[in-house]
Amino acid sequence: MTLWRLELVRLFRSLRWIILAAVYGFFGVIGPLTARFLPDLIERIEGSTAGLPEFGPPDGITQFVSNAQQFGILAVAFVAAAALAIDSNVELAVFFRTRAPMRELLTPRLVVNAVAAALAFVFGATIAYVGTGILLAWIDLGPFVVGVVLQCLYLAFAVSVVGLMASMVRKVVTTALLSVGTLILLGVLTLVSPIAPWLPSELAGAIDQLIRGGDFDYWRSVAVTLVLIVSLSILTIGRLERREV
Amino acid sequence: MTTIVRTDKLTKRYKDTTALLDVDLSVPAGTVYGLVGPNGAGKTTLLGVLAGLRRPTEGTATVDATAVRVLPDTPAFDPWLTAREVVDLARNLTAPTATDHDVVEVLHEAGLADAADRKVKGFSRGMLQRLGIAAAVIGEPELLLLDEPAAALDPAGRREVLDLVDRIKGRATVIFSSHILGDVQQVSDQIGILRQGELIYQGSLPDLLEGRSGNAYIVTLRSGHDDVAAALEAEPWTSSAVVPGDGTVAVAVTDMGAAEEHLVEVLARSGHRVVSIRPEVESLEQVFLEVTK
Repeated sequence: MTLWRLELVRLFRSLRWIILAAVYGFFGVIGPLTARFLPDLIERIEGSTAGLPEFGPPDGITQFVSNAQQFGILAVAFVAAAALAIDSNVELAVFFRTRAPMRELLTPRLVVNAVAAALAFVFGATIAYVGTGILLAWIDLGPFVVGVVLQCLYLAFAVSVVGLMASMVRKVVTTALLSVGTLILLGVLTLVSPIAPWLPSELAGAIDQLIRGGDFDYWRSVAVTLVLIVSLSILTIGRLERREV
Repeated sequence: MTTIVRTDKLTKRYKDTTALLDVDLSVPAGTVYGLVGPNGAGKTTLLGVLAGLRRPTEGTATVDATAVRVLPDTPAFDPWLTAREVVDLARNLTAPTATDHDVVEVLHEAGLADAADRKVKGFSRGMLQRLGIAAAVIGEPELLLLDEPAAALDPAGRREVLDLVDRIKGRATVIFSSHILGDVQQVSDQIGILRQGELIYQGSLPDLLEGRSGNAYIVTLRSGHDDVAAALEAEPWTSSAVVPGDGTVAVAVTDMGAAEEHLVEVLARSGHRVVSIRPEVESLEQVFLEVTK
């Protein structure tokens, strides 16, 4: 049993992968359905769709992304916090901390959780893409794939934020909530700040822009996000190494 | 005998609380060192510093071993792992050259062979404790730090854990903290007594008890307890002779040499039947209560 296998086992035996897959899968189904049938539903209930914008094929993906963005991040934060809050159980922390350096302990936890979050998003996005194609119309695969990759990068950043929070507090719930709070704050900054093109949160909405024909203007946020993922991970490892149990 | 653990004026403070103060610990290699003290005496903090989990505020702690394992008082493992996986994980992290056979062997030694493929989630505290020891001994560590390993167990569980510690003797140095003095007396060669963060005694157990064997004798008689007590109390080398009511006379002595010379003579003169004469030896518990007062 290696530390890498331990993380996979943690994800599967604790059924946490189901949480991730269920959240993203659910919104992957709901997104295209909403885009296809919401106008009909509103017309039946209210007798008219006046004032309602017309839904096109990209809206199937937009509906998925906007819902998955909120609930997905919450799920990712809790699942990652459960693995990264390494000192939440002191006795378990003693077992690990006295047997391997923090870098070895934390790397698989960060990587496996980031990959799991990304795979869950890809799973939901694939459902949303196919659903949109069947119910509305097929959209260009190229921009969609690029958007998915950027979103996955954002999720990896989110996991590194969870890691940093785990080095500041000990409990799983506090770690997850602080992480979500930080990510929301960064999202708000993206809306109001002139440095928005540099922020990781910019990547979270990229898919929506790209499938609607928007230009690829994300190099700055990609670069900053990559730098932040590495720096936050190093900072987390350093902080946890110094923390007393 | 070489020293495997040494601390020099080790002090640990948490804000306003001093958990350890000027502790000079010296643990000979290959011994089972019993660290005793009341709750809050600093035992867990001291083990935490030795394990590298806490940093000293002042002073130094030197551990001359690379393979150090720690067992907390209530060991915990990821509940969805099996016992075999826990030990295998420990093997992978600390003794990658150990084999699958070694994993099976330590599980067997810990009495967990039948539960090897059961998830840890359903384990009793005794089983968790034994699993903790199995995970600690895989790969033959040089130093084992056991924090109250038997404190929360029932008598059978305690017996099993103490037997395991006894079996480790000679294979590794063990520092074993406990407030259950009977356990310490049973398995330790060396002993350290902590009180309010200070190491107030350190040495071998016989030395600790011998120095405090007390200037007293317990005389067991068939009859004439009061007469004998009166006769003994009249001697210049006694300070008191009392009859506790259990068939004995407890004689407190001021001059051991005179007592050794004249005690038997006084008893013979009394004409009563003597069953036994023994020096009063204090138990570790009595000594502990006395020194930690």
